[in-house]
Amino acid sequence: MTGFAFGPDAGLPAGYARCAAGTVLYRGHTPGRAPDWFGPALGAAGTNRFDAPMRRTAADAGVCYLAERIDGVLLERVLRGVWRPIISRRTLGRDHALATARVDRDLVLLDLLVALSTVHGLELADVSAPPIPRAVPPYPHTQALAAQWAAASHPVPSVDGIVYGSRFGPAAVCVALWDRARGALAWGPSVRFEADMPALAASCERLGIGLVT
Amino acid sequence: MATLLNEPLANLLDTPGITDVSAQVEALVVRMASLALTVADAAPAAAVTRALAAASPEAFLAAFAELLVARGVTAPGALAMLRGRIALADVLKESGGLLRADEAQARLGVTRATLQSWRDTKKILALPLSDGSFGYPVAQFAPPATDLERPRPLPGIADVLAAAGDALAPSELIALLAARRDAFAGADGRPRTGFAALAEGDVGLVVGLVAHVTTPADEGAPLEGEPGE
Repeated sequence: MTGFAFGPDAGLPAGYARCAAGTVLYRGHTPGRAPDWFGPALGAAGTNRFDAPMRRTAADAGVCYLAERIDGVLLERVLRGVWRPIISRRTLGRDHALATARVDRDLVLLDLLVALSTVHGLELADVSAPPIPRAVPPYPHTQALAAQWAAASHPVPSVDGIVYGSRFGPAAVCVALWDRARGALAWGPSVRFEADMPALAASCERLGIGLVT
Repeated sequence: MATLLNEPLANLLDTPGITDVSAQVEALVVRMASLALTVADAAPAAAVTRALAAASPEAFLAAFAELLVARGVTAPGALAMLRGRIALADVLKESGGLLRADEAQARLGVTRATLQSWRDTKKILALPLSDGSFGYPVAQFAPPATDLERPRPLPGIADVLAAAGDALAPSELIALLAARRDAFAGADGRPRTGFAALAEGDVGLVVGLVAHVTTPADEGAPLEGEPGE
């Protein structure tokens, strides 16, 4: 977690984290679709962990999901909160692309990694609950919390989003960035996951995921 | 080592019931034995002991794959691919196995054409195999209610396949359905597999989770280059 510092180590109150300028984050997205998108679309209901809980209005923050490493993208985007020990290379290549975003200024994030319980009073299970199929919202607890946090005033001047751990392992650091930080990202080109096969293979190895055709 | 190399291979095999094999099978066994010898001879004793302690063929294969990779696999991703095949074998075994086409026809009491039609119209889940044929997960078939009937696809299998579309490979879908999950829990709150939930009539629960997985997290994002919101 070289790009992240927490609480007083980052010059912030406990419960907040800093993602340093220069950090490169990964974004999984649909090939051909804009990676720099903060969803859900206006009028659409949020289907991701920290999305607006109901149909998004102009008052709701849009969210762009990023991760510190490919691990987080595989776990959160490709598996979509439902563990399988295998990933198909065919579907990975066809339905998922990988973009990088360099952080151009320090981001201040609500810290759900180090101070999840101690400051925010939450349990790991609260923020890693599986989706409830066909429910609106599918992640009722975290979606409601995120809406409150996005609208709340914090003891720091501006909060850009949330840093959290993947549902399948908190070591896979993920960021839910609000659209107020849109201008803080410099996007690199999108590539296929297998464009860097050694990195993909290493990530699969770390996660214990097998690849199939 | 001297004992192994001086003794006929047949004396060392533990395969009761197999007394005669084709030349092709014999060649495969010899090749496997040569590979095993080369890999094990170069591996640390503790790693070989761990492989020998594996409780199932799948666990043994996984442990052997680790030895193979530790020896130096050249292609990146080779271990992940090996792991994938072993994980899939594990999933299939845990879920009740796979029927080859002729076994499925016999078990279901249908013709080859019917089986093919069920597969082509996505009424049943079929796993493409490396030889170009298909395998059919046993767990997708409901056992017959009486001796006069045959197993039939679980209610809702076709709905699940429709929800999965092309967004999940058959192997991924099998892995999703074969695992016990809270999301598939029934009225008693106990986790079930997707196959069990279908068998007990909870089709909506399974279709809902599959639909969640196959709906991209960035559904609604504009095309690249188009202005967003």
